[in-house]
Amino acid sequence: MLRNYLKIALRNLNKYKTYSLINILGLSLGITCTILILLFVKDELSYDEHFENKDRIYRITREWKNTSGESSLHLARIAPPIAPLLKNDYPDLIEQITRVRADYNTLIKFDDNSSLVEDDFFWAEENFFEIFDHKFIYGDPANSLSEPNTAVLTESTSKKYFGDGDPVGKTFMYEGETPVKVTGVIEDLPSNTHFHFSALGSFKSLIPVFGKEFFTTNWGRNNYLTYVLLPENVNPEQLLQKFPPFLDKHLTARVLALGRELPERKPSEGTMLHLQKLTDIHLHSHLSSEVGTNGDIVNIYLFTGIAVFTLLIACINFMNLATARSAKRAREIGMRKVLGAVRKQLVYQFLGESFFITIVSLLISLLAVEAALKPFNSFIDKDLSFSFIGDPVIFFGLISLLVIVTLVAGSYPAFLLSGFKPTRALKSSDKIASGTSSLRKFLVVSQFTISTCLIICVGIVSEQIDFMKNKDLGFTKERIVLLPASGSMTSDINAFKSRVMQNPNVSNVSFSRLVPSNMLLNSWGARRVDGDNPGPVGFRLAVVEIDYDFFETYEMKLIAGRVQSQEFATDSAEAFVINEEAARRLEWWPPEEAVNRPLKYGNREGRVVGVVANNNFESLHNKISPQIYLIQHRVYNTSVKIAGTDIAGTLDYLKNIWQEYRPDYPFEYEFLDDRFDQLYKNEAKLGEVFSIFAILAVIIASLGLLGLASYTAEQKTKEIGIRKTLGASISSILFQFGNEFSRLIIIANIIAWPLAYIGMNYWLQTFAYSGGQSVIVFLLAGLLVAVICILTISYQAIKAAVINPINAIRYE
Amino acid sequence: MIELRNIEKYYKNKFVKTYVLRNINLKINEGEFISIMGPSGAGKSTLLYILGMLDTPSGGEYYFDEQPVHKMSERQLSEMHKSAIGFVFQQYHLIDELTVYENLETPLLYQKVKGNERKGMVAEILDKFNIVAKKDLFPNQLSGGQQQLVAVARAIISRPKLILADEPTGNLHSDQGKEIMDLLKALNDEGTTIIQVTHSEINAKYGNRIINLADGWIEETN
Repeated sequence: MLRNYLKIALRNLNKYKTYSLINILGLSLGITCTILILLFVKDELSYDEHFENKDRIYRITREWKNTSGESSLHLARIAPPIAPLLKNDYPDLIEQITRVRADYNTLIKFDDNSSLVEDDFFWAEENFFEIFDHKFIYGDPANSLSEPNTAVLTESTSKKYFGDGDPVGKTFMYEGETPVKVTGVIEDLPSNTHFHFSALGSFKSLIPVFGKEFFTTNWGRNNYLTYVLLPENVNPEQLLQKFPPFLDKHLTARVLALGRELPERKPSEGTMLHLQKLTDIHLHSHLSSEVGTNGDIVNIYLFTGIAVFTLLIACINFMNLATARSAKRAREIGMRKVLGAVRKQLVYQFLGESFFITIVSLLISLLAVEAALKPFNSFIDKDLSFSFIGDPVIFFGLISLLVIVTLVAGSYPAFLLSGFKPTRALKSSDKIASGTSSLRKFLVVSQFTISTCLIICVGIVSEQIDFMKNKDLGFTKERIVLLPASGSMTSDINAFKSRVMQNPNVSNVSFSRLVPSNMLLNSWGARRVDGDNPGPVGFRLAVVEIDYDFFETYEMKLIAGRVQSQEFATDSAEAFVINEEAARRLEWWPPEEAVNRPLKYGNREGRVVGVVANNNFESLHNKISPQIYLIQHRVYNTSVKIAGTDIAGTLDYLKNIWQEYRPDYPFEYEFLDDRFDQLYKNEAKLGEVFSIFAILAVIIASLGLLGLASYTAEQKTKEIGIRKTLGASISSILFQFGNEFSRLIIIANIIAWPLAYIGMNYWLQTFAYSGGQSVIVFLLAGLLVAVICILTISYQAIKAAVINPINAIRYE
Repeated sequence: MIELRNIEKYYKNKFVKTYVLRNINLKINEGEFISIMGPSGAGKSTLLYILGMLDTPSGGEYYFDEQPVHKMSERQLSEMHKSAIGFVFQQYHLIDELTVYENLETPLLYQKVKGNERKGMVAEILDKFNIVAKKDLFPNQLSGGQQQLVAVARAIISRPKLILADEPTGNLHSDQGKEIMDLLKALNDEGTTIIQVTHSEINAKYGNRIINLADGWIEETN
């Protein structure tokens, strides 16, 4: 019997080559997309799952609130005193707690005087490896971080520094000054962990650098990742409840110790601590000062949705072509029933056929995935691997995929056709086929609804990316070269600056702590000094430390007063420039009102000298925050504005001067506009991924339409012949053909537009500033689908329309 | 062998019942060769399908070998199809994707006849119908007469007691038609009960009894 089914299946495949090809090709494409997305989703869901203590590890984060209660900042890192104080206060609720400091661009020097810049040199307390289990290749996890000036390297860092072999006991110079001894080597970190370091220094090494007091009293430097391991029987709620009294106790004590006056609201009303489960960080945490780039659960939903839709479109093709052929199959079913088949046997037969096609498609997909994995990996910046047998998740995933596709794709003939009474199937098979035409229309409409939705999404995403790239940010971002600088240059900055300015192609140079595209994470306490309501301002006023040339370099627009100037000696310590938003929030409006107002900011007492127009200093994901600009003299970032056209020559010039002033550091520059583009990298990537899958979905849907059009043409041959003998013209027949499909496209658009609008609206809400959704995108998407549709069916339509009526009528 | 009591068949269309068969009472004995005749739309095919258990009557009772067919489940009916009844249609209804051999084999597969026995049975019937040379051809490679020959062969391969033929020669020219009718007659002579629907007076004469249907009523039997 099985052989009989298999024969029928194979012969059907062979006989209807176009249909079979469309089915197999469509399903293969759909399954390939699904597998790739499955791999991606599986990887995203696996972050930090490999740690043995994953269920008990939490990260402590810190949030600040304005007096109005709204959140003004939420950092992934917290102040250094919190960890030891918590452990001391609640020893029963905390098994281990560890602080990690992440440093970037660290200069490493070796005995032979060679040097390199290490990207991710982190520091951790000695119990780090008791919380996070890492496999040691050399050295002992127990005391690897217990001494100052020691470090554990990852395997590839060890190779980079010392070549092959055991490096334990060898030393290198940290920042060119401090000798650090290697105490261990661990296996390279897997890619699916939320933070990556290449070397981990012992936390004790930091104490002489910052001073012991810093780690016990400085509540303002929220720069320490803090992870807590809860005891087995403690749930996070228990610890969470302790945070407000903890903050009240210690922050109050701190204020009193500093001899300051206690604020009106309790410390815990202004700042709070949160716990994040380790395994939730990658997909659910989007705080300021994250340690790496996290994923987003929304993208997981989106991609899963895309996978389901592509697969659905492919399955619909299958069902559609099956229904189109149902007339023929119905007769076979009728006859088989007459010969004694029971329904169950017919269900098996048809499911068997769809299983056969599915498994062939699956095999093709496996090859396609193998071929596509490398480009896909480089595209999504991941290192996914695919092993069909070795990975139980993949294996069972694919098996269930096989079962689901078989059932969905084969459902129509298997469950509906098999239920027909033989007399009906034998006598009126043509009627069955026409009865399925409304089902077919429904299926085609669903396919085009999905395709149209995807195309609209592509359009809106790319519009938003354009909007972000081209929006007037309130400053110039073109032709600005950013150079990293450090404290070591502070003494030479004026000399450096004048050397740079000697080049006629350089129009301005500015030093600042932050440059646009950075996040404004720092703020000091701000107090009104005069007026009706002296006292602390109720919101966070973000600080931007700059030099006198900053505003000119960035061409920020002044709307009241003046900017800081070297002509006024007191400006360096007493002049503040605020932005429009700050002036409004301070209720110094119109902006002229703000000029000359006294203000206390941190430990500086001075006056507001000017107000600049609002600018999108941070990414467009963030709302414009109230900002204050003040003069500082330490160097962090150098912004060089290039005026001429000779960019390469200017860069060479900068490089030469740079190497004079910072010989150990490689000359690494960045253009500000590239940096802004980087901020929207995720969106750009999302847009590209969307386009690819949308194109695939449209291709699969068009394949199905092609099959359907050829079926319709075949079915209508007789009708067309009769019409032509009655005098119908070719164009009227084409029109009739097009009319049938264009109705479906219009319906698909009517359904797709609101769906896409709602979905995209939701997505656009993740931006503080969006370009909105333009009608053009919707119209173009509709038009595009219509054009693709017309192109797809036109061949069949023309072929049918030009047929000789005699042949057409004889067809039967 | 067959007894119909007050068999009715109607289709409900909104509130109107359209009768196809009315008050059919009929007894058919084993070994008979019955021809059902009547104008188009008289209900001939419907009666045949009811007799063949492919259609269910709207009312009345149907006994086959004294068993109540009107009370049988789908499974029991399919048992009857497998073992007791063979069908021959005007349009042959061979399965296009299967060869002659495979078409003949299909009913045996549903009856779960073992491989060797099955091969023997197919070989025997191929031989009997003189179509051994055609066994690997597909239906569309055969003439209409040859196709109908295969269809008859398929109908009798599992040695049913009853063969139902719906205008078996309707699509054939006269020589081929005669061949098929002779074949049916021969089968009847071997003891198989045959009921055919036909428009042809000549074909009707092959039978021993003619049932005339008009507007769903049996007019006369002779």
